[in-house]
Amino acid sequence: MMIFLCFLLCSAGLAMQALCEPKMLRFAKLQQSNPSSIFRIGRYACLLLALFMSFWFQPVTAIFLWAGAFSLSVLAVSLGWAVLARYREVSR
Amino acid sequence: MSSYGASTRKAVRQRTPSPTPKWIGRGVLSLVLAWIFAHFVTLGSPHWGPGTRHDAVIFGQMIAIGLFPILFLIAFGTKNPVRGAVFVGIACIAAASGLLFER
Amino acid sequence: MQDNLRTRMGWLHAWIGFAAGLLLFCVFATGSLAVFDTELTRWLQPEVPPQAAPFSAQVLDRTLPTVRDLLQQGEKPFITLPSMRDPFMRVQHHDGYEFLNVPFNPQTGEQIAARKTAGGTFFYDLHYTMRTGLYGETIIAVAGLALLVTLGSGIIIHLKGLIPDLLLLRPFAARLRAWLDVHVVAGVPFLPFAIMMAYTGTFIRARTIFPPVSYIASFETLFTPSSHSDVSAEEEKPSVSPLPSLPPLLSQAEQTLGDKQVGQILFLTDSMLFTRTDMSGPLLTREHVDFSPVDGHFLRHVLLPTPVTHTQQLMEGIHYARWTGSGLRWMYFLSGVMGAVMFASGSVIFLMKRRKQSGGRIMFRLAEGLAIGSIPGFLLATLAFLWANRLLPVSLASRPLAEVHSFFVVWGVSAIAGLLLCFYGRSRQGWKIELSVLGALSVFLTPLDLLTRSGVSILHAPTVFAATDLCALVLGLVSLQVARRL
Repeated sequence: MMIFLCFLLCSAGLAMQALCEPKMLRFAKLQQSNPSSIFRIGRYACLLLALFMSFWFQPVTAIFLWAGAFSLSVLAVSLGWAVLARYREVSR
Repeated sequence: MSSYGASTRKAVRQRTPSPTPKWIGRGVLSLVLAWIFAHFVTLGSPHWGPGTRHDAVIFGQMIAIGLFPILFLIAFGTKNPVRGAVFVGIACIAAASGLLFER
Repeated sequence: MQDNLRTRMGWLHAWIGFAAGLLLFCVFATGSLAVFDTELTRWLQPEVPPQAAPFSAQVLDRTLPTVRDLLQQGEKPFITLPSMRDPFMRVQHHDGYEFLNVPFNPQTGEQIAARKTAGGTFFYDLHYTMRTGLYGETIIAVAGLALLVTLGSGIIIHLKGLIPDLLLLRPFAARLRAWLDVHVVAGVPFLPFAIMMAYTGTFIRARTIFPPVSYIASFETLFTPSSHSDVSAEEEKPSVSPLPSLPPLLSQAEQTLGDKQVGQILFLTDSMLFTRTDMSGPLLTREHVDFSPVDGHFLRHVLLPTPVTHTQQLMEGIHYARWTGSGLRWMYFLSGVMGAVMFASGSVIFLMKRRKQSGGRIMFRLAEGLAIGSIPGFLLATLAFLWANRLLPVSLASRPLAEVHSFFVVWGVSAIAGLLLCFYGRSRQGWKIELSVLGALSVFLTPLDLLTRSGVSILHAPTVFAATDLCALVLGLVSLQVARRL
């Protein structure tokens, strides 16, 4: 359960990171504007919250849990972003 | 900068011979130096390491494996190859001097 | 080529990465499988049902005849007690390569008639020795150092794009770009895992490359004839006295180690070791309480308590991941798989970048043939091992060895086929054929499992069988897709 929660939080944080990154916006052909401060703060907040929760609920395995969840989230978000980019490219 | 300048620079870059043979030599030298360092650290660890001989050797091996890639990259990566080799060579001498310790 | 830090590191990364990468691909792939070695053993013994009744310590003595037989054969048998990962009691011994096992019902103590198999520990042995003993251990330890150097140089090359390119995956871009993205996405986020495993793994086998004696002394020892070599195997076989009853000893050991903290009982000729379970925590302490095999009296309690040994135990615990729950175990597995993907994609990029300039050279063809043999060829051999387990007759003599031979024959054939096709300038077909066969073998593993396992039902609780079949299915689909896009 904790792993899943950590994974969700990391994924949310990384998705916000993607929304703040001009290169990622260009790739998905999304409108480039100044990212909202919610995204800019949220990308760090989500990752830190996941780390905090890992340490709070499972202190022995916290680092492993967080690092693993982060790695898998990167994979999930990058795959999702690639699918989104492809979809937007095809539907244009 | 004019386009002529850029193309000349590109052409010059293409004509530059590949430094592969030089880098192979450098790689071998880096490997030898980093390996000597790691070997001396492990060999000397019973002389200066903590606790029993077993503990000291384990400690030495931890250091050797941790520092091996760092020293290898330093020896290989510095702009001036002599500087990198000298730096890692000094580390090797320091590691070898560990053999002089007596407990 | 310019001579700056990035190009120097790029050169180092490419050449060391490719040279060691083909071996490291196999190491990562087998390591990922070894994370689930116990579960794979259960898949490889379909006669053993997925669930079992709770363990009753009173039935431990029913394993003693099997233990005695093994002791009389000169083996060092041990009983693994039921755990979360495996609800069965097993008597095991190491045959020099794998841990062969005989399963027992944990409540009645009856032996379960299961096929003999090399089991999931085949991959464990392959992971750190490539089945070549000390020489293999040494080569893999050196490959571990090469991995650390490759990771270090990779970080330096990619430092500038570490954050902006972290999530950038363009699978539909030009081929080289797509493979580069796959390499980065499989590498960068999993760097902590890769560094941790490279460091701890090399450290565990450090004695092979960095012994605490000079290399001259090591070589002298290597060539000094062993004093035991003249003693025949017959003479070494010990006479085994009747073993004492185990349940009282187990409860006595649990008073020292804690309730349900005993994981194994190892039988030696002069002592019986009740060892702490590897699942007790991140420290792989191997703490044990010893009893006499003659009358069962307490001999000693062994625990290495110094800070250095604790660090060593922590490193081993982190590397072996036997203490983790199923969630973290899956993370280890997926991270290991991504490590294998990193090396596979890195090797493909290495070849792609040099194909135009050196594609006709014999060394290039050799390198590509080896890559075909090591990447799809190795996975093909793994699938062949699983297929052989289900297709070889149950009554076959030396069955575990036959499974192992199937693995190596298929690996050898695929490597030779890959090399031949590359030398004849048909490398593309080489990749395609092997990936397609791999895809077919993987996809059809589920039907094979369903056809060769008794008591199968489509709708049941998640089991090791379902997980293995599903992983094979995913591998098959990915292989077929890669073959299609080549």
